[in-house]
Parts: sequence; C-alpha cells; structure tokens
Amino acid sequence: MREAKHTKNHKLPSWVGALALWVAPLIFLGVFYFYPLANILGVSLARSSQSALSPFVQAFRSSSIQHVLWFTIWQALLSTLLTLLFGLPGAYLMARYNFRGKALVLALSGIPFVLPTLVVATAFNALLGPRGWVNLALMAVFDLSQPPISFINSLGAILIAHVFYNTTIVLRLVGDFWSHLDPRMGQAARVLGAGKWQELRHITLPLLAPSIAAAALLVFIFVFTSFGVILVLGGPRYATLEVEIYNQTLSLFNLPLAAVLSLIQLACTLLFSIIYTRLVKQLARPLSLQPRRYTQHTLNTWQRKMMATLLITFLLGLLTTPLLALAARSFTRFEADRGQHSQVHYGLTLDFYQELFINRQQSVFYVPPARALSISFTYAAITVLLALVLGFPAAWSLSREYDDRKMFGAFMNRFLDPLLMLPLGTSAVTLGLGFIVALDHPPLDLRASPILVPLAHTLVAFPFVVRSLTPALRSIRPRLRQAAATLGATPLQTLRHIDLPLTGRAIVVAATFAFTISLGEFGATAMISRPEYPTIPVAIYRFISQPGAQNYGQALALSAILMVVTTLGMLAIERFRVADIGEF
Amino acid sequence: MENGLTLTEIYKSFGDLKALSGVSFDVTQGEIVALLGPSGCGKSTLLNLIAGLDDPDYGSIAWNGESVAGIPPHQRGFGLMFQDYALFPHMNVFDNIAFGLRMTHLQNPEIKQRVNEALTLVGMQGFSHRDIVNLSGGEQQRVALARSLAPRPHLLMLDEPLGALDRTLRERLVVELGDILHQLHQTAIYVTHDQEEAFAFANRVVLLNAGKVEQIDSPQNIYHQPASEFVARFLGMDNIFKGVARQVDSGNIVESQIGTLPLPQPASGEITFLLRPDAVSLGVEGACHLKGRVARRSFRGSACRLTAEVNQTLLTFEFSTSQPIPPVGETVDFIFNPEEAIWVFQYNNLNKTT
Repeated sequence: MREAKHTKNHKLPSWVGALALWVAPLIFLGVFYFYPLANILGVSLARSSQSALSPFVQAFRSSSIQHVLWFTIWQALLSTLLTLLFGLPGAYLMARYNFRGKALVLALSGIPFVLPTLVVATAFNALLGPRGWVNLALMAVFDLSQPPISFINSLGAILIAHVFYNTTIVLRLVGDFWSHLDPRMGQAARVLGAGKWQELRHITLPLLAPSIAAAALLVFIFVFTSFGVILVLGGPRYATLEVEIYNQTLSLFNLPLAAVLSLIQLACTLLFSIIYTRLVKQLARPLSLQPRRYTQHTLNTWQRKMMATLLITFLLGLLTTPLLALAARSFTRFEADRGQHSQVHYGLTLDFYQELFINRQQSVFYVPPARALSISFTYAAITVLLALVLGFPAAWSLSREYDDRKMFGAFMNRFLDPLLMLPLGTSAVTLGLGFIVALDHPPLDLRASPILVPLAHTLVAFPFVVRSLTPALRSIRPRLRQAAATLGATPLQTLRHIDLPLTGRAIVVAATFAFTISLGEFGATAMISRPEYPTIPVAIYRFISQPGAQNYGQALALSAILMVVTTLGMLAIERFRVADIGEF
Repeated sequence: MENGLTLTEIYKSFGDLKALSGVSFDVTQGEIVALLGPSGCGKSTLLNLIAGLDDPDYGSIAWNGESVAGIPPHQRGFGLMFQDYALFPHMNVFDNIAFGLRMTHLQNPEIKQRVNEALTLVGMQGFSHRDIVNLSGGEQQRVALARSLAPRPHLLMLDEPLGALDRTLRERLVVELGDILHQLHQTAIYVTHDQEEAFAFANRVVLLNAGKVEQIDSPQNIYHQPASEFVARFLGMDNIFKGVARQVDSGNIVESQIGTLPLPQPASGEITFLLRPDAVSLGVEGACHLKGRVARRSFRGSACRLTAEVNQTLLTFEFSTSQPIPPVGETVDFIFNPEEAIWVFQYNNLNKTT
C-alpha cells in the first residue's frame, strides 16, 4: 500500500494531464463561441431601459416578428411532415430488404444532405426555375414567351427543397433502427391474430416511435434554422428567423433586434436539442435488437420487387433529378451570346466555366470567380488544420475512460461533451452575427482580417471533427496496446501498427468533414466575408441575385463544381468512416 | 389423418441451403409432439411454415384435412411461442396477454377474465401491471406461455421455450409446462434440441436431421430402438461399430474391432451396431465379457462416465456412482447382457428385425 503511494507521488496528478489536453479547445470555444454569444446578449440588452426582458417582449409584440416566427414554425412543421411521409416507406425498404445496389441507393440519398444549401437552391432553379429545364421544355413545346411554371419564390419550392435535403435522415435513422427491430415481434402479433395493418399500428409503429420522433426532431431542427434555401428559393416574401437575423443585420443594420432574434432562436434550438438527446437515449431501450441478417429478406416475390422498384425510382427521382439538371444545365446554352441579342445559339458549351476566370467588371470589389475558388480552398485548408489541431486533443480526452466517475477527467468529460456540441445547435447566421458584434472592437479587432471566415468554419466543423475522432480513439482500448506489447512490439511499432491504422481513417474522415463543411458554409460566411474575399457560395449567391443568362450560367457552373467536390468528399467519408450517422 | 395437423412432403430452401427436404408427419388432436434435432436442422423453419409466416416451396400443410395454404397467419388459429418470447416491450403483462384477444374483438370484461385465467394457469396472478422489462427470464417465459394460450389456439407451437433459461429453472419449468399442456389437452408441437425436454412430456418425438425426418416414435422407442446411427449419436450413445455378422452353432455373433460379441437377433453380413453405454456393468460373471483399461472417468453426480480402452478402441460406459469406480489406468472387466446392451441398426442389416 505504502509502496503504491510512494510511486504515485512521482507522477503528475492525473487532473493536470486531463486539463492540459482541454486548454486549447476551451480557449478557442471561449474566445470564438462564448465571448461572441455574450456580446450578442449584451447588444440585445443594451437598449432595454426598463427590464432585461423588455427587448424580447417588444420583439414578440411586433406583428412582423410574429409573422416571421409563425412562418418559421409553420414551414418547419410542414417540411418535417412531408419528409416523414416521403422517407418512411423508403426506410421500410432499407430496413427489411436486401437487394443489389442498396448501398448505392443509400449513398446517393445522402448526397443532398451534405450539399451546400446554395448548390441545392441552384439545382432546383436549374430544374424548375424560370430558366430551368421544365420551363424551357414547356416554352418550346407550347411556344410560350414566358415561363409557365413559377416555382421559385413559392412555399412549395421551400418545402420540396427541405424534403430533398432531409429525407436521408429519416432513411438512415429510422431505417437503421427498423433494420434491427426483432421481426418476431411482428410475427408474434400475426400469430396472435393481428392482420398486417394491425401489426403496423399496434406493434411496428409504437416500437419505431422513438426513432421516428428523433428523426422528425432532427429534421425539424434543421429546417427551423434553414437559411440558404429560404433566401434563394423563397425570395423576399418568405423569411425564417434565420433569414430575418441576416436581413436585420446586413440590410437594416438593426443589430439589437438581430441579437434579440438570434437569442430567441438559440433558445429554441437548445430546447429541441435537449429533447432530441433524450429521445436518442430512449432508442437504447432494451428492445432485444437483432443483427440484420435475421431481419432482412431478399426481394423474392414480384410484388416485393415491384414495390421496391417503385419506391427506389420515386426516391432517386426526387433526390437526383435536380442534381442532374444542375450538371446538365451548366453545360447548356439556350440564350443569345453576350452582346449579340439577335443571334441565339443552342447547344453544349463550356462558356460558363471559362467565364469564371475572367473579371468582366474590372472592379476592386468584383473579383473573378476563379478567385473565389482559390479563396474557398485556402479557407478550407486553414479550417482543416485548425479543426484537427483543436479537435484531436478534445477527442483524445473524451475517449479516455475513467474507472472512477469522481475523477477530475471523468467530470470534465461529462461536463464538456455536451458543451462541445453547442456550436452544432447554434445557427450559422447567429455565429456570424456574434463575430460581427464581438470581434470588431478591442480587445479583439479582427474586422478587417480574412481569418474570421476560417475561424467561423472551424467552429461549425469542430463538433463533426470531435465526433469522428472520438469513436476511433475509443476503439483503441489499452488492452490492444498491451496485447501488442506482450507480442513483442516496441512502443514505436505499436504506434505504427495499432494506433495509426486505427485512427488514420478517422483523421481522414474528420479532415474531409472539415474541408467540405468549409467549402459549402454559407450562413456565417454571408454575414462576415469581406467583399474582396468571396467564397464559392458567396459568389454563387451574387451571380444568382443578378439578372442575365451569363450570371445564371456562372452560378450553375460554380454550383456544379462545388457539388462535385462535396460529393467526392462525402463518398470518401462513407468509405472511411468508423461511426454511423447516428453519432451526430 | 382427418383430425389435427398433417404435413406432407414439405420442402423449403433458402438460396442454396436446403432447410427442409420432404418432411412428413402428423399431430393428432390433444397430442404433444416434440420436434427434436440439432440446431440448424430446420425445426424453426418448419414452425414458421406451419404458422404461415413463410410458405413451403413444395408440400402441403393441412388442418383437419383442409389445406391451410394461402391463409394468412392471423387467420390460421395456430399459436406460436417464440424462442426468446418476443414479448412486446411497449406493453405491460396484461396488454401482452390481452393482445390476441383484442385482435378478435372480444368485449373488455371477457378479455379481463381470460387474461386472469391465463395468468392463474401459469401462476402469475398479480403480475398484470408489471412492465415486461422488469420480469425475470422465468417470468417472461410464463407470460409468453399465457399470451400464446389466451386466444385458445387449435395448435400451439413452442420454439425452444426453455432455451434461454438456466438449468435448474429449466428442469422445474419443463414439468410445469407439461402439466399445463396436458391439463388443457392442448395440441402442441414442442421444438427443442434437448432430448430430456423432448422426452419429458411428449407423446411422440419427431427427430429431424438436416431437414429430413430420421425417426418418428414414442420417447421410449426412440431411446431403445434408435433408427439410425445419427439418432443414437444425437442421444449421446457413441459406442457404434461396424462388424460382420454370421450364424454359428451357439447363435449369432458379430466380429468387430472390439472383439467377437454375441448378437441378440439373427443377422448376417455387414452390420452397424450400438453397445449401449448404460447397459454394461462391472464384474466378472455375466453373459458377455470385455476386458479394458480405464482411460478417463468423469463424475456427473448420480452417474459416472467412464472411458475404457478395449482392443485399442475407446468405449464409453455409464455407471451408477453408488458402486466404487475403478481409477484411471486400472484394467477392469465389463459384463453385459446382449439382449439389453446390443442394438443392431436396421438400415444395413439384411435380416431386418423389429
């Protein structure tokens, strides 16, 4: 006993190590997350003469804000409902059947989810917009001079884009849970006299309920804070809280109101996130989950084959048509060339891509789009570096297991794990607003610094990086290293043959996450990017806000590039990732 | 067979795997048939087919002479108790048992009465409002039994109902389960891989091997007259040898690797025979006699299993532990009566006996 105590005293106390790992991540979060948030709170309270709550009361009393709130909730509810209706049959198919190409269908369905909002918006524009394929076809067939379908700037456009985005959440979350649900529950009900519909109503749906609720809530959180889709596809008539914060900040310069609104939104998303976490915990209810090989069938009857074909066609129809339309439209010209209004050339063209490298405007603030590409990639590289440097020690600490819950490290883990996820629940526009109000004056004046953008991207990417690294680090149990050592491996060999192979993939996944998130991020970037340093999404938004076929074509070309890069990135993640999407 | 279940030539494959090939047997009303066989022999597949959860590739399933093909599981009136019970975790004990009754649109008072009856039957009165997840394994087993009995199925199938329980509990419940089923005159198919369970209360045993019926008979006959080498080995009897049988003046004998032994019945040519492990005793004076060296012994409570080397062949015997068991290395004499100890398998015996 005394012997043990004696040797222990030579070592540093364990809490020193635990704290050391947390220093960098905590300083980063403190300065770039909590400090800006505190500033938002300060700004919103600054003009309250009577009580702390009066700015909020005023905001809730204003009819325009009431309208925004109501619309935010209304469109979120509708979008969630539609996504469920659309996703649940697909989830059933994925859960209960095995068929060739299933992995491909699942991967394809995941692409929209990771695409930048602006790409999605331009994709729908390329399909159903005034210059989109459907309108062009109708105009050609019926010889019309005006596009017959006005899809853009309608509630329908917003809802369809949201369904497009989030269907994969339902497919994966519900589908995964469903695929492990013991089919004997249903069979037991059948044998006890329940018909197929009674089985669905009394057994399957109640058992799936927590996973459906979790998926619905996650979709709801995403569409509640929807920004790019509303801005581009909804037009000036529709504003969610997120869009209103953006407008109040950049168009009306009403920072106090923007601050109040972002606090309201933050409170809402925090509330939803807490409920979501509770629900996910419920998913772990002892249900005797079964491995998939017991629960899945092949499509062995023609009815099943028929149902599967219909469902997959329907799913992929919605999920890939806009993307194909975008890619095809970016190579096709239907209008007159620049400056030659009389001569109209139809056909395939690389013009829109070539034009990206020319600065037509000759203005300081109007950089050639190719510049946006290089700026975006630079920002993405910085984001990857920052996110990994900060995320690795945090993940390392989180992955450590403590025998005693009262140990300092264990306490830190319990306390910090949810804290690290907070930026995930904070809308991008709010993060941007926080940077604007907090980092434009001493002690930290970064107003003119282009580093603001990658810092914001790091904040958004940070939770993803931590969540990708932690399971991999956790999988290296001390036992593995001990086993390697007893088999004769030196510490260096252990690192080379055990640690690196096990974490290497996770690092690649984390880096890819950070990279693609940075490339596509729009909400925060729209708030803080300097006009002379536009990222790709900002450039797309500029082009799409301006009239003319050339601008439209360039928006499409940039979107197509971004789509390809993000898709490749996400396919790489799908191949390499250790954890399932349920981790997020 | 008009009264009860009739299976005729059932075939079922999953891809390349032939789960069932040509299974036929019947279950008369009020009878309990045990379906015995090693895991993977097709027992559970057969239950799924009878329940209507899956369809046979070929063959017919009939109840009281009428085919049930095309009738969905909920209209067949057959009950199935699943291996790990498949109790509904989102319902309490009462709702689980009431489920089948609610599906038939019974009135609430009657449902309540029948659930209470079922609970009383399995000795679980007072458990109705308990949560499923808080029940012990044995309690879950009883609730599952009550749930499958409550709708009063024509035929109850039990798929390894005691498989998930520990040995002591299993031995107690197997008796209770038998009592309940006999008391209700319940027609039942009882699936198990455990011969003791199968023998405990089944009227007849169907022994399945790799999707084929090896033997259908009463428990006593299966044990005393195993139809094939597989059946004998499955029941734990391993002293199986080939030999050449012929008639001599003193009767019938077989020459085999363990020596020349008398046969209880006339036979000639190549035969396969079993030397029953439990019909041999220690001693010098007996009808037949073998000398061997003890190679291994394992104590199993009331019995002791002893492996002896006889003519360079290992034989296994079982003795009661009430007598002294010779130690390893000692050379001992075994005696047996060929009428009791030697069983000649029928399939390659030219002079068949019954």
